[in-house]
Amino acid sequence: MDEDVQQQLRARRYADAFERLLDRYQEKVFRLAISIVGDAARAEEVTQDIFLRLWLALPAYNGQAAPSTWLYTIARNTCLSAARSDTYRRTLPLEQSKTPRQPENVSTHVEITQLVERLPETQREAITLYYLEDRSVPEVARMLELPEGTVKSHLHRGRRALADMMGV
Amino acid sequence: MDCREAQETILESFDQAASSDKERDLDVHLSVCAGCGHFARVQRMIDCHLAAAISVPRLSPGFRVAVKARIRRQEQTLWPDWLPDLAHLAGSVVAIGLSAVVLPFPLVATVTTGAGLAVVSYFLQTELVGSLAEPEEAGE
Repeated sequence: MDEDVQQQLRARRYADAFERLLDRYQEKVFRLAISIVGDAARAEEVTQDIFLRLWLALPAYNGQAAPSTWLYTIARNTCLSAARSDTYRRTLPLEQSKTPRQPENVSTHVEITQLVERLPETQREAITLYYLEDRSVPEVARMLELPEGTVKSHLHRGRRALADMMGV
Repeated sequence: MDCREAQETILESFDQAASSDKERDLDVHLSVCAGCGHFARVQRMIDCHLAAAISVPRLSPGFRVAVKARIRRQEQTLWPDWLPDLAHLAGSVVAIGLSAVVLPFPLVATVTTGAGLAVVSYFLQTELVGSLAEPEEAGE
């Protein structure tokens, strides 16, 4: 996959390659950004940043990794920088919490998304991306650059933690 | 199958279908273990809630236009900030030098006047660059 993009990059047809990458990956990168930064509006801004960085980096592409892998690396690094500098998310991860949490009564979808927000970063990203990517563990693993077993482990821990938070 | 294996099998079943052997072992375990039965029900409920709550969003229609506008702005700013100042300085030096050679006035008067005009034109240039940059910043 993406051999056409690699050919365009080798031929230094950067604008064409960029268009193809936008066509194929803009929504996926957006979903990856949502899984890391949380808020959809903020994720769209970060997705713009990612493609701007990609455009600037295209002449330096050396063909060693697949363009999608390379794009996901840029995306993930940009998202992590944005998430760290953001004032948006200030929720404390569950394992760092000093006071024991009361069990939550989850009656709506909004409430479960709030519980997901409290999960540790890796579990939150894996769970969010898993459902955004139509329950595909291999795709989540590719996007997060993690082995599939590690993604499954994060998913399982996240599910157990959600059950604990719900107190059921 | 013990409780730990049963719960792992339940969690794995969300990612991929369990083998028929594992499924049979799990059914046997669930028929005698109320705790794992409860665990399975809770996990199914969590899965349903998550699937319904985490919806697939779409980028706004103006996304591509916005990205390309940012690329254009970025490329415009690839010129170094000091380039207009350097061009102005070089232009002023050349103009003053030529004036000193060509014009029939005393050298000191020509250089002094040229330097004064260079300072004035430098401030005009700075104002012009600032006025061109402001609308773009306001648009972000």
